[in-house]
Amino acid sequence: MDLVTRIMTFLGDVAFEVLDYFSPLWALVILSALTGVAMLLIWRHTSNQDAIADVRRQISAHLLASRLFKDDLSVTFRAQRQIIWQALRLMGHSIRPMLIMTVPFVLIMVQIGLRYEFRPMPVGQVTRVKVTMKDPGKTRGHGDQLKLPDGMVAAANDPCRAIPIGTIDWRLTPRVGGTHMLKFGNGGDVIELPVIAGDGFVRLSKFRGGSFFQRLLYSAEPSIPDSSAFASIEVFYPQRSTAIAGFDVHWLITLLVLSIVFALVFKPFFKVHI
Amino acid sequence: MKSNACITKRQKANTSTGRRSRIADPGLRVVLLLGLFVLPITGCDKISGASGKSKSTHKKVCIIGCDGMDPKLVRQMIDEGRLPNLARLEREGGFRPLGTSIPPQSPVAWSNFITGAGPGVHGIFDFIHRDPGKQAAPYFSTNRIVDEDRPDPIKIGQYAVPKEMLLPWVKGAENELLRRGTPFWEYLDERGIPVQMYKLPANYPPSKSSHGHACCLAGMGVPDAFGSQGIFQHFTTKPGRDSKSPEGYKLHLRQTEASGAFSGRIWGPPNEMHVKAADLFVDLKAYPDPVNKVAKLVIVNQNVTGDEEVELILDEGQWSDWTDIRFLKTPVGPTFSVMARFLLQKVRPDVEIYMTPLNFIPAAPEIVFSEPPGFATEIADAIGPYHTQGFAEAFNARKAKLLSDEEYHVQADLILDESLRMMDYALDRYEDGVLFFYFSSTDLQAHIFWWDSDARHPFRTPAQAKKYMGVIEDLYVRMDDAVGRCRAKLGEDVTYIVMSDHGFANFGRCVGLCTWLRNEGYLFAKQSVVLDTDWSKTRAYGLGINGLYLNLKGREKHGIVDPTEKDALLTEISQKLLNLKDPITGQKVIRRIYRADECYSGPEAVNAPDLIIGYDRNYRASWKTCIGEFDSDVIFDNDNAWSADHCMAHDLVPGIVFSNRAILADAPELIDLAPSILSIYGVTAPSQMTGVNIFAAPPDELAAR
Repeated sequence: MDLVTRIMTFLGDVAFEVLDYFSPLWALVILSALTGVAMLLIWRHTSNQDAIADVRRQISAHLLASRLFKDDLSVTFRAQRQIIWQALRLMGHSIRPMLIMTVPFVLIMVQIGLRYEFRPMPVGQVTRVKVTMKDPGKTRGHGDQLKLPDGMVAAANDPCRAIPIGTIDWRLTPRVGGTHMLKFGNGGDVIELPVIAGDGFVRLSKFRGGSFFQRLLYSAEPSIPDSSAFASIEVFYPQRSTAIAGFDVHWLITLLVLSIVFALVFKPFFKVHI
Repeated sequence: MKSNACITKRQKANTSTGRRSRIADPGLRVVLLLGLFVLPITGCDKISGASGKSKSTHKKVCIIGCDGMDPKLVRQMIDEGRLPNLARLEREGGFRPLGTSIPPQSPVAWSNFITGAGPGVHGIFDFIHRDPGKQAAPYFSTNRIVDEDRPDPIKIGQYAVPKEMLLPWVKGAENELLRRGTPFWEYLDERGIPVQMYKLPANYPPSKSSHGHACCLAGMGVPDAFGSQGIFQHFTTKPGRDSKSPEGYKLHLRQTEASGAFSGRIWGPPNEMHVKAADLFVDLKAYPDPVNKVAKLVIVNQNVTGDEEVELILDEGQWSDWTDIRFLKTPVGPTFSVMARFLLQKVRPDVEIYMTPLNFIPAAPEIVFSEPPGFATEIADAIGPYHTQGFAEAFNARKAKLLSDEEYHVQADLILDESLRMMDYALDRYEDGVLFFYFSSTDLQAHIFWWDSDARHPFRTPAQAKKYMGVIEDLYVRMDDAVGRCRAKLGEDVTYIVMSDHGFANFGRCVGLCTWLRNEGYLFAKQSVVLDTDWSKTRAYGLGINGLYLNLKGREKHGIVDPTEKDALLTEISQKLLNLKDPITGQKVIRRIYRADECYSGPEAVNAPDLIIGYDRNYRASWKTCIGEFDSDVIFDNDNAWSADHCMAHDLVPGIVFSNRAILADAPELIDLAPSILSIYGVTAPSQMTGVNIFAAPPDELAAR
C-alpha cells in the first residue's frame, strides 16, 4: 500500500509540476483530456473490439429494420427484441475493460483529489485536527502532546480529549501560510503530519493512518507504524468547490463530464469502438 | 451567431475533400465542446457582471422596519446626538410618533401596515384567536394547518405512508395564511413595480405574487420544525427527569457504562410516517474534557445508508455554527433535515448545553417560507444559513431561566449580526421599486432588557436595570448605523422610511383577567377556560393578551348571553374593569377599554373579541390569562425575565416613522404607510385601505379621522 501510494504520489507530483504552469481549471481540462484519451486506449486494448463493432452493426441493422418495416408489427417487435439483446451483449463486453480501467482511474482520481478536493488551512482561521488513539485509555497523557510549529497557534482551551472514544482535538489557527509540521506524542512515539496553510492548489493529505479507504483516497502520507499508539490523524481542511458559470461544481463531476466528452471526441482518431 | 457562421464556412471549405472533412470534424467538435463547457469557466464572472444591474425604471423606496422601536427613547437619543442618521432623516423629512394598532400587538400592527387597514379588514386581533364554533378552542392567529380533507395514510406495519406522497393528485395538508385583505405590494406587483421584502412579519405562509414582481422572505410567524413558535432544547448531566412543554424541553444526558459518553436525545417533531406519530429523535453525545473548559458534542444524524456523526468542539460559552440534524422517518427514508445551533454553557461540574429551536435549512427547506420559494435559497447561497424561525431570539429559554441575561444578549446579537449581513445582501441585490427590511432585535431584546423608570425592577437591581437598558440604547445606535449603511449604499435618489409598529413600556405587574372574571362571577372554571369551563353559567372569558369575549348565544357553541343583553353586560364589565386598582399602589390598572363594535369596521370584525383591554403602563395580562388559565391573585408582580411589553392601551406605546420625504401628517398611523407607499408610485389607495397618504394628505383629512 505504502509503495503504491509513494509511486503514484511521485507521478502525481511530476505531472502537476508541469500543470502548475496553467490555471487550476485549465489544468483540470488538460487532465480530463488526458484521462479521456487514457480511458480510450485502455478500452481499445482490453475490450473485444471486433465483437463490439459487430454488436454495433447489429444494433444499426435492427434499428434500420424497425424503421423500414414499421408497418409490420412482427418485424418491428423482432427488431426491438434484437436491439435489447445486442445492448445486453454490449454491456457484457464492457464489463472487463471497465473493471480493468477502474484501477488506474481510481489512482489518477486520488492524485487529482489530493489537490482539488480540499483547500489549505485558511490563514487566520481555525482548522480542526483530530487524533485518534488505538487504545482509548491512552488518550489521557499520551497523545495529547502537540508540538506546534512557529506560525501556528492552538485555541486556549485545547486540546479537547474525549476519553471514552480515544480522540483528541485541536483547533489550530495558522498565522502564516506555508507548510507546517505537526508533531504529536511524546517520548519515542511521535507521529508527524505536514499541514499546509494559505491558498492555491497543493497536495493535501487529509489523513495519516485511518481506514484502508481513508488512506487510499485522502492520503499521500506513509502509514502509521503498527507499534505506535496512534490510530490516525485527520485534518479538517475546508472543502473546495469550483465555480462554473455561477454554479458550484465538484471537481469530480467536472473531470468525469469532460473526460467522457474528450473520449467521444478523440474516439475517431484512435479508431475505438465503444 | 458570429462563431456559428465561422464554423459553417470552415465546414463548407472542408467538404472539398472527404478525407480532410473527416479529420477536421473532430477538431471542430473539440473547439465546440470546449467552448460550451470551458468558456463559462473563465468567463462566468464577466457574464454575470454584464447582466447584473438593469436600468432603473421605477422610483426607489427603502423601508426599514424596527419592531418595537420607541419614540420617546429615540427622541431622547437624537437630542443627545447619538442617532445621527435618524436625526438627518428628521431634518430632511420628519419624525413622528406613529399611531399603532388596537391592540398594539405585533401581528395586528404589522397586518395594519401590510393592508393599510385595521383588524376589521385583515382579521388579526391578537396572537391567539378562538374558534367560537368549537367554543373557546384557541389557535395561533396568523396561520393554520388545513388537513380536514387529508385522506388516511396507507399503513405498512408500524409505518404510515401519506397518500399524497405516492399519488400526486391527492391533496395533503395545507398551510393557510389567515390574514385577510389585500397586501399593498399586490397593487405594485400588478403594475410591474418590483417589491423585495425581507423577514416580513405576519405574512406566513407568504402570499403569492400574482405577477412575479414581488418577493418576500417571511419573518415572524414562520414556525420551527415542530410547527410551534420556538421549542428550545436544554441538556444537562444533572440528575433529574426530562420535561417537555410548548416553550421548550428540559432534557438530561446520562453517562452510559458501555461508552462512557454522556448520551441523550435531540427530539424532533412527531413522525407523520409512524402509525403512532412517535417523536423523531437523533442521539446526542457529550464528551467533556477532563481538565480544560471544552467539550466535544457528537450528533448522530440518520441516513438510509447508516448513521453519520457530526462532531462539534466547543469552549465553555461558545456557540456552534449552524449544524444540520437529520431524522430518518422510516428505515428506507425519507429523511427530515433541519438545523440548530448549540451553546456549551458549562463543562463542570455538570455539562449544560442549550440548543436553539430546530430551524429549517434555508438552502433546502422542508417548508415554503418565501415567495417565490427559491428566494429563501438564493439568500442562503449568498450569506449562508440563517434563522428561518420567526421568533429567533431565545426568549423562552431566558424566561425559563436556562439562559442568563448575558447569554441571551449574545444570542440576540448573533441574530442582529445575521440580519445585518442579510441587509447588506438585500442592498447589493436591490435595483429599484420597494425594499423592505425588518429587524426583530429592537422588540425581542427590549422585552427582556427594557426598563426606563426608577421604579423597582421585578428582579434586577437598579444598577443592573440601568446596565441592561444601556443594551437597548446601544441597539438603537446600531439601528441608526444600519440606516446610514442603507443611505451610503443606495444613495439619495431614494425615499427612506424608518418605522416601527409600536413602542415599549415597563411590565412590572400582571393582571389575571381570567381570575378577575371568575372572582366576579362571570366565568366558571377550575383550571382553564379551554379545559373545564362550565359554559352553562359562564358569561365572559379571557383569551389572548388583550381579548375578552362574551359567551354569546348564537355565536359561541354553548353561548348563554342573549344578544339583547350584550350591551349592558359589556358596559358592566368595562366599568368594573376601569375601576380595578392595584392593591399596592392604588393606581388604576386599565387605562382604556375598546369595544370591538366601536373600534373595528370591516368584514372580519365579527370575529373580534368583544372587548379589547387597554392596560395602563406597567401592567399587562398575566401569562396564564393569555392561554385562559387562572392565577392565585388578580394583580401581582411580574417576576418573569420578560419585563417590558407593549400590549397595553394603544396611545401609550406608539411606534415611530421617519422619512427623508416631508411628512405632512401631524398624527400619522400605521395604516397610513401602505397608501403613502402606493402614492409614491402614483397608485391611488384602494377602498379597502382606510389609511391616508402621510406625505400629501391635507391636514383636515387627517383631522377628520
